[in-house]
Amino acid sequence: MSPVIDPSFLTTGAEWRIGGAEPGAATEPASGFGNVLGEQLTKLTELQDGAAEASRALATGEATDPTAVVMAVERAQLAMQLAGQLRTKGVEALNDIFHTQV
Amino acid sequence: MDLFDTTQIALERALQGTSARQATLAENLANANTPGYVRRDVDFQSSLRAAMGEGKDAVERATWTTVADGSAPLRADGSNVDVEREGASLARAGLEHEALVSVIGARHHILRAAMGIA
Amino acid sequence: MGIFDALDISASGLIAERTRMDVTSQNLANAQSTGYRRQDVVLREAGGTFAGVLGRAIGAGAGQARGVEVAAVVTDEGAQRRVYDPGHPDADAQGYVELPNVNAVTEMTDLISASRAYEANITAMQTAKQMFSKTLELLR
Repeated sequence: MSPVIDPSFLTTGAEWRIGGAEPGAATEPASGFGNVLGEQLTKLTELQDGAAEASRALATGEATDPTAVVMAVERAQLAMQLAGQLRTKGVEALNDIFHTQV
Repeated sequence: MDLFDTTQIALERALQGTSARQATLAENLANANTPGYVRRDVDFQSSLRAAMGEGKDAVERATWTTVADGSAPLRADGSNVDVEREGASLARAGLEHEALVSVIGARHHILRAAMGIA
Repeated sequence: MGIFDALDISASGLIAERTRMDVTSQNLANAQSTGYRRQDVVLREAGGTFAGVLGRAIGAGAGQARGVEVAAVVTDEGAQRRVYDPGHPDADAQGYVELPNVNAVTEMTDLISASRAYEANITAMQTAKQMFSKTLELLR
């Protein structure tokens, strides 16, 4: 189950891709949901740390570009919301599976 | 259970710092034409930087004072307040304050999202 | 030193500069009035008296807003201008009239300086209000 929109844009800054695949690249078999969630959590932690670092620089007056600080924190916020949505959808999917009539 | 990390405390203290700085700059401007007046400033950022290395409690308790700044050139009437320079510093303090408020608000949203509230 | 202190401080600045402008305008208006002596405004830092400094030191006046205050409006006791004008109703026996030593250039310079400082104090007030307003938005 690969995500419809590849969230790696959050860290790499690459173009948003629909379908989750680079145009022309070979498609790989979809990795498990657990792997996807794990990756997202790692990226989430990185973003949170980056945002905290930038915020500290702003508080102590060392931030040379306040705009960059605001963007870093915004990215961290989006990543957190994405993680929340992934968790919600994952739980919903799980419930659907458990309630499937066999 | 600690809801707020050192960074959040530092951001909030910085907010108080910019507020204190604005008041001090306002006082400089009020005394722009007072003979013999020496301009003052608040360097809260140095205090915060020093406290950050010592942990969350140090940041919470960090204090700063207004210090006289004799480095600016003296005018004929003995006052060293330059209205334009104070105005520029005032604008900068205002912008720093706004940036801090935005960042604090965003981190609050992050906390809420993490807790599962909208 | 919160927002309310900052507003008080800026307000004191506005009052002081307004006083300067009023006195300067009065000097200019009376530049040709015999018997008038030009006036000056003496400013000093508010709370700069011994009582104020002591109060702050022992923490009694910790919440006191400072800023500026008009210490006094003093009359200029310097020599007046003597102008030779025998036709003037106030001329003395030699035909000289004593007019106020109001120098238009000096007064205009004071007026401009007071005006600039007045505007700067307005800006400081607006900045303080804006900063507090932004902080309040956090509650939303």
